[in-house]
Amino acid sequence: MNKEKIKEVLEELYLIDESLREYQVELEKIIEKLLAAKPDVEINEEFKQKLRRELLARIEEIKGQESVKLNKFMNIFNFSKLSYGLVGGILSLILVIGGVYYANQKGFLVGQPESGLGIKFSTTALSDEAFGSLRTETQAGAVSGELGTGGVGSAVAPGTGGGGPGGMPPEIATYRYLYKGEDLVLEQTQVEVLKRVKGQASSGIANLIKNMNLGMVDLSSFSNARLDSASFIDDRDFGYAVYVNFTEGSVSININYNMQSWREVLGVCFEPGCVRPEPLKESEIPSEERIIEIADSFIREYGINTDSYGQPESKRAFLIKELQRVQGTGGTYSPESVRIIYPLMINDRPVYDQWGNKFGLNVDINIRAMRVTGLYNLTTQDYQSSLYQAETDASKILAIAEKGGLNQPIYGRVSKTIDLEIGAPSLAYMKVLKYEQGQSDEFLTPALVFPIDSSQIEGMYTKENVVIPLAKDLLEEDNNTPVGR
Amino acid sequence: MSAQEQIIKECQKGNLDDFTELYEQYFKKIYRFIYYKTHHQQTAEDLTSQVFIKTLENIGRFNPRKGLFSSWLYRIARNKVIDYYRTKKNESDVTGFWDLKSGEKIDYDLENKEKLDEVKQYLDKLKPEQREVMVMRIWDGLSYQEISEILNKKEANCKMIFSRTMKKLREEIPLALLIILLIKNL
Repeated sequence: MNKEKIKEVLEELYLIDESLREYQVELEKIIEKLLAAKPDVEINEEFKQKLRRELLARIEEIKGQESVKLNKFMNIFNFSKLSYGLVGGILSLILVIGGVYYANQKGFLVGQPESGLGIKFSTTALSDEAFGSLRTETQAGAVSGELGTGGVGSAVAPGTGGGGPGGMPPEIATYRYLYKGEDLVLEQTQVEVLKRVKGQASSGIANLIKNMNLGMVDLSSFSNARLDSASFIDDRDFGYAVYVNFTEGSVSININYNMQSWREVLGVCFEPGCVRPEPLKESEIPSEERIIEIADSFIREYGINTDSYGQPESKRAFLIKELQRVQGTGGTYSPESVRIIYPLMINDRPVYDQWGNKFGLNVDINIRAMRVTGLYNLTTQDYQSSLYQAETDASKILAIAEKGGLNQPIYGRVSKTIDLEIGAPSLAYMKVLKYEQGQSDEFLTPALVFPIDSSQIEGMYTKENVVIPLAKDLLEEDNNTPVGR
Repeated sequence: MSAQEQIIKECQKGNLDDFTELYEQYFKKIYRFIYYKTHHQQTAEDLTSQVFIKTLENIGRFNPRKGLFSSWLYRIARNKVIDYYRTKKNESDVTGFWDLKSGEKIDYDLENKEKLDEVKQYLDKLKPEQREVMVMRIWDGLSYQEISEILNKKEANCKMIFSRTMKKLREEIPLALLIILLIKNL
């Protein structure tokens, strides 16, 4: 720091405290002394170059991680367990060739690897609020898109079913969730929101196959070819149909309905004169352990990677309630499936949907067949992360919790309100879908999960938790969707 | 948009090839900043490595609306030093060498011992935050904006701390001692 710089420092000082000006000489000497006492720092040029090389290596490593994603995707499950049919064989051959080609380019081998090939969690940090608003423009759209479990059904009063006597509409109840936990303190001012990165897996394979001339059509004539999806069939008794969606980065497995073996064991009955099997009895439902064992065994057999998922939980109790509900209705429908959920785990915390259900890998088991009939939500786990402002006003969170969560349906013909207690929350993640221009983005936001004490309710009440996201942006607009008005 | 801002923007998009430009620009500054807090070459080198690796991996988190890139980088460095003393010396409130309790065993470079002993006798009279602001302003030559962003304090507050520091030093250090010290350094 030269004389001029010292003067500048002093002038700044006088702006703060003019009285110091009269000590200018002393102050100058103090600063000079402080500068003289500054340790001599010698830069070790060798160290500087070594660190530079380390940084360059790390940059290459980060770049490499992007390319490994395709390879990981190809190994979400073990293809070799399936015996392919003709069409499926061609497709899978393309997939495997594509995978090997791409893998060899990058020095990785398909089909080796237990280790980690699969759907391991990875995240790339972006700047704050990098995803813009997390809300769909009309949030109600997001609600209808996610409906399916728990939501509307849980608002129909116990024991009422689908219609009232004499064509009267069913008795509709709304629920109020009263917080009975300790005082809620929210100190965190920011939360890390994750956005799932989809669709990166297709480009490598697409580049490979777009240069192929299949005889019937020359794929190279398509200038911007992109592999969107592929499906193939395991052509044998009790075989499966596998659907791979490269755009979404997801895989689902269903039974191959063409196989007579499945039709027989499931009692599929479309032909005239065909007699449907008797509905299941409660006593025929195996234990929870047995059901989970069937799911685990399927996952092991097909080499499905569950690194990102937690311990399985079965919805056996729901099946029993559903059986009890339909018994008195006289209808022909009778439930036969139990869902097993392997909850998606992020930073050791489970992910929930907005209805309070754990979200993750779903495995459906048909009890009559005692076999897995479907596997869904197996997705790549590559995320981008960004910090968002967190809600710190506990009263706002509790007010939304009292209504059962964000964007709950409002019923026009409510005949009663039932109070339920909710306990102290735990920290988890909530899955949020944002719809925009015909596409959806998947976000995971830290959230509070309030357990519902439904012990005093009889009948078909299925909601287990109230989930409130902590990202302030999502709480800005709480649309309540009118139903039945 | 400045060249540095352009490089940062590209890095945030995942194009990290020009990160080494930032490294060249800040290596000496960050190394010195850490050295002034540790007074030990080996430790300063280790921590400098950690700072740049962390900066590379987290550059996406830097938000230009919240402050200068340099402040963000210095803040990472400061946190690394605090973590170092927390884990190695089991001291939770230490932001640098000066804050260590007297008698604490610590490695430091002997070449600077004489200078350190001299300056320590009156820097010890200052509060830790006064020492830290003084070192950043005089030794590192940082602006008040940078200091305020690194310490997460208001700029006016940092200026006030510095002016009080100078006032205190003027009152505490006898002029005679100053003259002697200055003569010794001639």
